[in-house]
Amino acid sequence: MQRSASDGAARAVVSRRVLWIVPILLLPLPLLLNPYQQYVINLVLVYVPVAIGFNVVVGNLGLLAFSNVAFFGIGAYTAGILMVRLGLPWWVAVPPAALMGAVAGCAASVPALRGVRLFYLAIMTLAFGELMRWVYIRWIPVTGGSFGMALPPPDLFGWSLDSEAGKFYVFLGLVLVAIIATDRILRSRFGRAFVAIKSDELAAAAMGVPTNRYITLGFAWGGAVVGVGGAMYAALIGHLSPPAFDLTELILEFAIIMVGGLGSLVGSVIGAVIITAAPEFFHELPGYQELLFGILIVLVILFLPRGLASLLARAHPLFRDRYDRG
Amino acid sequence: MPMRFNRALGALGAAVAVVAIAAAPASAQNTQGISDKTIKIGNLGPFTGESSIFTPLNFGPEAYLRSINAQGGVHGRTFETVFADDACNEAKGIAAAKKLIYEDKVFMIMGHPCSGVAMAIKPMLDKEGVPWMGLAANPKLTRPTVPSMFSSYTGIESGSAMAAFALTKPGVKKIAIVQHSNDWAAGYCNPATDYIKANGAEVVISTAMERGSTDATAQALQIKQSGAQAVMGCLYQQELVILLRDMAKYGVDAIVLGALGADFNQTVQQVGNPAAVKQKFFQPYQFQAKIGTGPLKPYRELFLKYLTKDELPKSGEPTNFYYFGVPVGIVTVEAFKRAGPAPTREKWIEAVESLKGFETNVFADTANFSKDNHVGFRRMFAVGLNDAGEETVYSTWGKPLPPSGS
Repeated sequence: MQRSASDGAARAVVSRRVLWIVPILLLPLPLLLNPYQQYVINLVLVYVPVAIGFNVVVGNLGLLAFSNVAFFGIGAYTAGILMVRLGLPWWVAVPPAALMGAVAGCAASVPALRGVRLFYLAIMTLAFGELMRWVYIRWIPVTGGSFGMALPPPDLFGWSLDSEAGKFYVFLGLVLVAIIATDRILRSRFGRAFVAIKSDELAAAAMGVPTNRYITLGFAWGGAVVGVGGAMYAALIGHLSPPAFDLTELILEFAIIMVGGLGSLVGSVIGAVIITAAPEFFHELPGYQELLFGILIVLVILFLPRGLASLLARAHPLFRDRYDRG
Repeated sequence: MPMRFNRALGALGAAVAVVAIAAAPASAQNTQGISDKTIKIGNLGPFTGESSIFTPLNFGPEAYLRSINAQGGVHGRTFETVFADDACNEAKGIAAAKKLIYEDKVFMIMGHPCSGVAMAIKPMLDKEGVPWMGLAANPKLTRPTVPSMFSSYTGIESGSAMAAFALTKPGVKKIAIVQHSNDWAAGYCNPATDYIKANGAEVVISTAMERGSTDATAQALQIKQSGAQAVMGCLYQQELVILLRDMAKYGVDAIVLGALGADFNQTVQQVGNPAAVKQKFFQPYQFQAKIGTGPLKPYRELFLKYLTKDELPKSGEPTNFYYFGVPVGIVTVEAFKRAGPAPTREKWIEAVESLKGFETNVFADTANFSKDNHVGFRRMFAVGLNDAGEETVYSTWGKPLPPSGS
């Protein structure tokens, strides 16, 4: 019996390693795509960590917190400010962007620690995002105000990332780190604590789970990962302005995790791919783009409440990453 | 074995990455988009989303290109337009511009993207040398000059014109600023503020009115309390209408100068209260005459003939923005004529820079570009309703331009 369980675990580890084929298959993409298509792929890669971080808080912790766009903006502006005001290279600005995202995550967790939940928490965290937008607009000497900030081309150890191909490899690396690290966390005792808090916070606390600590950790990790996404966004777009971090952006990010699958890492990736890349297929249908987009979201929510990731999970156990099922 | 396999896989991945980077994309060619029979042009703008009210700025020049095509084109080539939607979003705007350049392979981009989008695509256009001719409020777009980018007007001309007209009204010394918190509004209201301060007047309050606001009571009462005699309303049409309505509601006795994010006629109609706009509401006016009249009459017919029902307003009558956009097409076509039968991007840019005193028969000013100046038009009037409620173009306060036949 023991041997059988051990074999099963080994098979699972081997199976998960098969997933490494995906990034390796992606490596030759810049050879096959033009700069426009590469840009769209890079934009998808930006939204993967953004979705992963959001999903940790909403999907894994089960808290209706909408501060994600604040973490995204803080990560982007931290990277941008360090590049423009202090002249630091982009790669040096990435860790501080993650750190500031984590700090913002800790700050955003305060209402949750005070017992604020559901729609009240949603509104309070939404206000955090709007407050940050006010800061971007009013802190003109640092953020450039309404006109925004034009950023210098990013680089990696002096190697220019001016081309979309260069950005692709660095972004792919960062995305892999974000996925692996988040997967490890969700499979560790932290992840199990998240599941306990999501299932029944009171029972978790009664069982001795320090819920406040884990909620803060969840927000901090989410903020850090989204902060990295913000730094990637800064490198990709090369220009930061407050409207990029408004409510519309939050709706887009929420749509990514809803369509992909709440609480699912695979879902975060699928959602980022579908929601970011799909509009590019509707160029020939101006005006209908928003309509088709809305219909897609409604259909997914109606017929696949666990998101598109649930389709893949049904197709193959390899994609069953729903951490709340053990 | 697995270790060796992993190493081999890693080495393969690294090799592919190195080859991919070595095969970095070549720059777009300087005759890209030119064939024996056609010239491919990208038309970039916010065709969806809340900023889609500005699409007439894109359809104006498109109508002109279609009229040139009907006459046989330029040097035997007709224009082929590829539309691209930026949705007023930087990430989408870059994607749209990249699609135009690298997939549709256009010669140049024409149109009216939102200012933030224009700023975001600026480095790419500059790097690739892709010509851009259009409109954007943000003056940083063409100041300092970027070799391939040209603008008809920017916020500096319009914002200064708003303030200049207000200060010609006798007794106006105190001015209020009401604006959106975005780069578009700053593009108008910052130059207006500079002009006001430089000409001995005072900005008594500067307050925000955000997109989507449905009430301007706070702003109206603030203006009333400040004693401002004029208001710079750097607002889009929807919010400008609300501000005008609420100022009338609370009896605020100050004139309002709107920025060019609103169509004058539509704004007047939507306010729906003549007392709120008559001799109260004005806008910078860049045209030679009232729209659809005098030298602008042929353009009205051109819009009606060459634009589809979907591209025209529901009323069927082309609005201010169609006329505002059309000189972009006129200047673009003139540059192709001057660039000769074998145009390149360099020749086209040189041709634009050669335009001096070029008459569009649309704008009050003639086009004047040079190597150091890529903003072609500067002179502006003001439009408002006179005491009889008739649309009137003024050179300064109380001085209407002579009527120009209909």
